[in-house]
Amino acid sequence: MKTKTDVLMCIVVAVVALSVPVVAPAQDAGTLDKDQVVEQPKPYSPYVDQHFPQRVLFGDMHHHTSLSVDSGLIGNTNGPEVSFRLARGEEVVSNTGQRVQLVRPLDFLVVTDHAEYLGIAKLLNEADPTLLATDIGKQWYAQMQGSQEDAWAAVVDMQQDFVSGEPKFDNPQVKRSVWDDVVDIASKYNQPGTFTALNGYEWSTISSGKDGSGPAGANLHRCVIFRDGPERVKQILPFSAFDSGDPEKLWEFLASYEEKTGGRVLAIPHNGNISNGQMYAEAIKGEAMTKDYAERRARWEPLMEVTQEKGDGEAHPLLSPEDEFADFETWDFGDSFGNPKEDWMLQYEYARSTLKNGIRLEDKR
Amino acid sequence: MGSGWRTSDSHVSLPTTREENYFGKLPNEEPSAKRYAEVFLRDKKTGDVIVSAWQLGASGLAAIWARENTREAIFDALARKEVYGTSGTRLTVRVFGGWDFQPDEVLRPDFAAQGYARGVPMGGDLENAPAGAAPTFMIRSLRDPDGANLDRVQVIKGWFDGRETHERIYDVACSDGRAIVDRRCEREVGSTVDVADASYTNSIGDALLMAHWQDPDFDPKHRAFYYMRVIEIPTPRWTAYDAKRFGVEMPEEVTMTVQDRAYTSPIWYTP
Repeated sequence: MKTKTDVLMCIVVAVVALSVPVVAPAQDAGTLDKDQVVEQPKPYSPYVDQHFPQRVLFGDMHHHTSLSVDSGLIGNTNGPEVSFRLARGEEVVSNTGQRVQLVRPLDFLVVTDHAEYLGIAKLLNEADPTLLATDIGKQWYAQMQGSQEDAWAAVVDMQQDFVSGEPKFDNPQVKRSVWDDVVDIASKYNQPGTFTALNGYEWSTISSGKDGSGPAGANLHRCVIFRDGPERVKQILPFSAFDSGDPEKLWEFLASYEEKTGGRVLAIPHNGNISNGQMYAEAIKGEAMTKDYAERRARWEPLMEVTQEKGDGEAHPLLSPEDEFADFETWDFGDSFGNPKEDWMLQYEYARSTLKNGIRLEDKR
Repeated sequence: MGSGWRTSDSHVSLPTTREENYFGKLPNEEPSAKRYAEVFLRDKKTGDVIVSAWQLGASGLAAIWARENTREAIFDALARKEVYGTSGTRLTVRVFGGWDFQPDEVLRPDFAAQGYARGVPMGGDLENAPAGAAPTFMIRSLRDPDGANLDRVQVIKGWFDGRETHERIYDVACSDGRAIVDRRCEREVGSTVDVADASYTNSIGDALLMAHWQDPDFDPKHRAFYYMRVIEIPTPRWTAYDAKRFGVEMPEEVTMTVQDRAYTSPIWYTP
């Protein structure tokens, strides 16, 4: 329904841009019959024919809840509902029992929990019978009930599965039920015109693993953001690092989603600064980037996450020595496993150098 | 490839991005007297601390230019890159690139209508340079109503001359009546931060900065991009609020002030 409105508005803009008079169809198509031109009075209100954006909406497009294993297994029991309630301005209680509220509501929020083992932490918290019927479920449950170190060990084990690409628990009914819940919660809080809850999730490969392209530890995560509501996004299950660790395979999935549902989707890479030169590399699996690859990446990943809690990604002081503001919340120790950074990696991690490399590559084609 | 949006990556179900209201990334980083010293990443072999929690930034937010607050309008703005990112502040920045914007146009309250009619917004492309013309930009930035004044607005330009790439930074609007000398505000904005009290005032900086800028070094043969960076005046970092509220003394290496900022998506020029 909303799509139809947008299309109509576009047509109106196009007509107005051509001429102020609205032209009635002439009998001989292609010839303008001046007698048929109907002059529309110019509206008093300057805004009735104005269709460009006039407001800024603020929100968070990369956000985790207890449905992510690296959150829900180590003490976060707040699910997406808490996130949405806080985002829309309500007071909520944090995991440590503290009251918290925003200075004023956000306009939108995308909950992007990790697709890998999505919802498992919550199910463990609830002692889900399907999960506890498995050996690995019992083991995780015991670790979660144990000390903080035990719980963290379970998270580290699970992250090793992100690396190998081989899940230790894989149940299609559970995945379907969790994803449908995620989508239903977003639907519940999505209030068009007031507060937007977009559908999304995070594809969390760390370079190696199934179809992976490099050494384990390089963060190549992407947040996947959908334009659509439940009728479309429930037709799929999130494509995860357990399906493939290759970004090109993710793009194939995004294309298949659009093909299947008629919807729209894009992916946004984050934290190039902990990818050790891989996130915006020019060499793809050892070969020079092709035009086709560049075009597909621009198609599916038109944006990059430029900055976040784990360091700023705009510019690095070594790359931009004359920029006195470049050293801002810099995280350049290495990758997400702590493998150390080397200077050559930096230009393939930051926004400014990537934009520069981009126009250089574009010039070559 | 685009750029210019920001997120928190919070893992505590609490998207808190302001310095005085930061609830951390992981549950053990929710407000407490000792959270600044929590270990975020440790070397598996040596056991050495690689990253501590105080190094986390209280950020960030995505800002979307849209007609309405809906899934469709937000997604479409992302797809056309008419978005910017901030380190947690809700400052407003709007920019248009075109070939013939006049210096006084940005002063008009309805400058956006001309911006869209004769140019492109952030995320857009400039092509077909008229003979002898150089790109002109209209830029307007307004501070977060509940936040800090603005220090300056900068244009960051990158270009490719056929052999190698270059970058150059132009300050285009400076607060407090400062002149622009050699592409920079003539002096730093200063600071009102009282770290011990975790406070600051908006007695420096400006609430509104406007600029008309024409690239003085434009070569129509060279591919280029231009994005805006808006810098706020210094404010206490979340670590300063923790020190004050919990009465802890932070180690020397802990950063205690911050200049929050916004980065816009670029406007590209293609010969």
